[in-house]
Amino acid sequence: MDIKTMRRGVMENSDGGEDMVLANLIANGDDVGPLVRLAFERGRPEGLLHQLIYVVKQKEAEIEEMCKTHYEEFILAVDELRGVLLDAEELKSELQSDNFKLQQVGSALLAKLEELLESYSVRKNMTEAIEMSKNCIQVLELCVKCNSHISEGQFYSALKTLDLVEKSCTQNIPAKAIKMLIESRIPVIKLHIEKKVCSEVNEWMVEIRSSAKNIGETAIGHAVTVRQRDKEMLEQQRKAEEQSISGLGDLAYTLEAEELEEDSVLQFDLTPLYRACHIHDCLGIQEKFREYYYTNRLLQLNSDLEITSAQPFVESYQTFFAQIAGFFIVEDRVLRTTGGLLVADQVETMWETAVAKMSSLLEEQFSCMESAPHLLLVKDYVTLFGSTLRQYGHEIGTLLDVLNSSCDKYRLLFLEECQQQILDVFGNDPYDQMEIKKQSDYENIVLSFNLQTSDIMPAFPYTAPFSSMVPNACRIVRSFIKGSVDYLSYGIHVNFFDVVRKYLDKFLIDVLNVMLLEKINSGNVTVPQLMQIAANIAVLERACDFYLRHAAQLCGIPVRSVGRPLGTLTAKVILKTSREAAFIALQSLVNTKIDEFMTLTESVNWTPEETNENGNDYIHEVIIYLDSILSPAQQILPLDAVYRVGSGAFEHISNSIVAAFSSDNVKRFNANAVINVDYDLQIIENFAEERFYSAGLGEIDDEVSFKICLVEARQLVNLLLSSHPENFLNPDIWEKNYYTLEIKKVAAILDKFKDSPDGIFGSLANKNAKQSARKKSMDVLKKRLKDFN
Amino acid sequence: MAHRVDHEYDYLFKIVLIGDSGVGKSNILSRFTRNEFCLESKSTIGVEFATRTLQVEGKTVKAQIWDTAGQERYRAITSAYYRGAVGALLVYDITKRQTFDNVQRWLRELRDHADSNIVIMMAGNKSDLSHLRAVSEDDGQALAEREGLSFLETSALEATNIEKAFQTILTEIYHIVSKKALAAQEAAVGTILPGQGTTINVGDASGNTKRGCCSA
Repeated sequence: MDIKTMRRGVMENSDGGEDMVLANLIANGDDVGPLVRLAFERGRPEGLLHQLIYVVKQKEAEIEEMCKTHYEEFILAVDELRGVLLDAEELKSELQSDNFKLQQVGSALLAKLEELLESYSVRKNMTEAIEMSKNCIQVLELCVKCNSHISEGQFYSALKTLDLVEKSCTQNIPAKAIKMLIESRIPVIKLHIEKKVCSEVNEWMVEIRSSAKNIGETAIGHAVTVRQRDKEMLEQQRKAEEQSISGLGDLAYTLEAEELEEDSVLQFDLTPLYRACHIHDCLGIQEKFREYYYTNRLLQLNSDLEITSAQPFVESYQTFFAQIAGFFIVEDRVLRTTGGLLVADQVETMWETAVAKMSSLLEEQFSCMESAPHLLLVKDYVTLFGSTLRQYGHEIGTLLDVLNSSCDKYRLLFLEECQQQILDVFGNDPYDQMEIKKQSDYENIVLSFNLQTSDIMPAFPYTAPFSSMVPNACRIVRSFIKGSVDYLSYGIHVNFFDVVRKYLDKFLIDVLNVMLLEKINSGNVTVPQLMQIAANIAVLERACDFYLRHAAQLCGIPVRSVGRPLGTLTAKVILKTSREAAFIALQSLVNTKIDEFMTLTESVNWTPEETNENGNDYIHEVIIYLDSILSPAQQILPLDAVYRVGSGAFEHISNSIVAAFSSDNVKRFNANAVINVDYDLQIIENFAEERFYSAGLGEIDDEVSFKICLVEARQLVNLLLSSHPENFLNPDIWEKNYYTLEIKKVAAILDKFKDSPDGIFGSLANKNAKQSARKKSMDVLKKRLKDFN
Repeated sequence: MAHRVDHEYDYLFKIVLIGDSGVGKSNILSRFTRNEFCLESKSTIGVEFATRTLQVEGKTVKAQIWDTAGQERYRAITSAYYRGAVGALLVYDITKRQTFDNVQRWLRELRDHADSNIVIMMAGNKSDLSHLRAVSEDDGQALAEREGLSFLETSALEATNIEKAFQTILTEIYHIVSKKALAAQEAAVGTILPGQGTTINVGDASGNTKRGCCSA
């Protein structure tokens, strides 16, 4: 058709050549857009529109032509359709007839078919029911299993099974009743498990609480072992240092000790707690259990921290501290092994609670204690407790502070106890020199306290220079040192030697020395007793070096280093002063006694008719007394002390004789009286010389003697008997012969010197002449002295 | 003292609950009379009481239980508590040693203010808190024996031994009252003159229980 149209177009329009341009373009399918755009841009679209009208006419002509051509064909198509309609009507009639026949024949078959379909439906329902029942059975089997686990206490398995039940319930159970029942039971079961597990934990808490004491005691016992081993090691090291021995052996020992420490393990069972942690984790309420555990353990701790008033603390303190130690050892294990049930802060809080309570309890109990050993026992146990818990990371500074602040109380109580012991020792002392019968006694009594005067072992029986008070006092001092060291060791002070030394000095000065002084000044002691006390003090001074060395030893300081930096005890100087006091008291006592005898001079006849070569009574009494004190002095005291006692006594006698001449009791005396005193003086001088040399004092110093102590009396008598008494005023002669005489005193004495008038007339001419000359000289001296004064 | 009411119960017994503050007296009361336990601890102010009727050897006994304040500041009305009381339940807390140590003081108070024939039972409460125990059962038993008391450990929380404690007290009180009634009856018989017939009113005899009876 297109070909036909093109032919006509070509034939019709061959004349109008220009109008065919647009038509050709459209026929060729070319793009006419640019052409149209160009026409409008140029503002002259009329030409284009004209061409378009032409194309329209052309197309309309083509359509009309085509309709004319196919008119006939349309009529024929309609005729054919009419024919088909008739055929269809005929077919319809046949089909209806066939259908009726089929309906009649198939009715019976249809009934059968319906039955079959119903059976299929029933089978489907049955299949579903069976399937559903299987699921229910599966879930119920899980429930039975769960119940079985619960009844056997296998809660973890029970929870796992319960989880499966829960999932099956959600997914697989269409039976609503069962589903609701199970869903309502699950929380109940979980709650039941939770309660069961908490009940188990409570039982575990009861058990672990009753075990805590044993755990604590075991751990503290181990601390005791460690401390003992450390002590032995220190002892070895100290000896090694003192002997400058190689330390190789110590190192080996140390390594061995370290290996041993790692072996010890405390045995207790945390299984119920682990199980409970796990179960609560599965239940998703771990935080709740954590809170429960912490709260109840804190309550248990607070209960443990209560002291029963029914039992004395000194009987219950070990149980108390062992219980607390056990508690924290358990908590340490729980902290490290339960993966977060406890946190370090909680344990720290519990520890701070415990420390505060224990500290206040200790302060209270220490303030009530009146026995130093009790304080020491508790302190020892507390330091062991402290060192045990320090190993578990706990800070024990507060407890040590309490012990440290109780140190003064301990020292005072201990001082009182030692003071009482010293008092008993002093009270029971016989003031006799100890007789030591055998070597072991010598070692125990003398060598152990460094009381020996030489390194040579003496022959036995041996008489010691001291009385039994000395070794007994040394024993007490040694126990005081040990007690002080015991209390201070393992405390705050690492090097507590200076503290011990201070305590020791204080004890020796305030207790021992004070008691010695009280005894010396009591007025109840005799001269020999005072001598023994002085001798004892001399020995106690020497013992101070032993005390210091012993203290250093106990404090772990080697002996070699004691001498130089540590010096000596202050007490040593104080004791020396007390020895001086003893001598002063001794001197005073001796002089008092001498005075008693010298009062006999009052009964002396100061104007005798005759001279008496046998001496006055008083001098013999004095000599007897002097003999009674110098004999024990030679036994008890060292030679310098013997000299001191003797010289003091003789000097006092000399003073007494001079005082007799000065006494108001003597109104006048004559030459015979002076001669008699001269005889007395000769007797005492002879005794003095004899005693001086028999005591062995002559070997010490030839320059001194007991006789020298009588010089004042001698010079006075010499003056009174001198042929030329006026020479007293000659400075040179005075310096040589009368230097001890005081001018005023001499003047007073000379006033009393009256020669008897009777003597003159009764004498021979020769004697008269001599006495007359001396009288003149004496008168001159008297006059000059009177003028001089 | 006990007296008879015909239609409702045979005996009315007054029981006092005593012990330190916080040992659980009120919960013992509520557990016994209302079967309730309250976890929140509130101090009792002054005095509360509740009753419950139960059977004691075939007799209907109404227990009137007085719950007292353990705190010191309510002690002024002490003597009023004990008036007419025939039984006392002395409670301590097994987790607090001090409450046990104070039992002696409560006993002295009972002997100072209450009837000398009062029946006393000691109860160690809170036995469910075994992991916090501070007083052993042996200690409680020993003290009870020394003082001639009945003793039980109880738990108001778990209702352990609560019923048994009151049953024990009431039974013992009933025995004492019965003995007294019998003695009174015999005394009444002794007053009858020979030859005279008189109807004995048992009710009147019970009513005269207080009069002139020697202690058992």
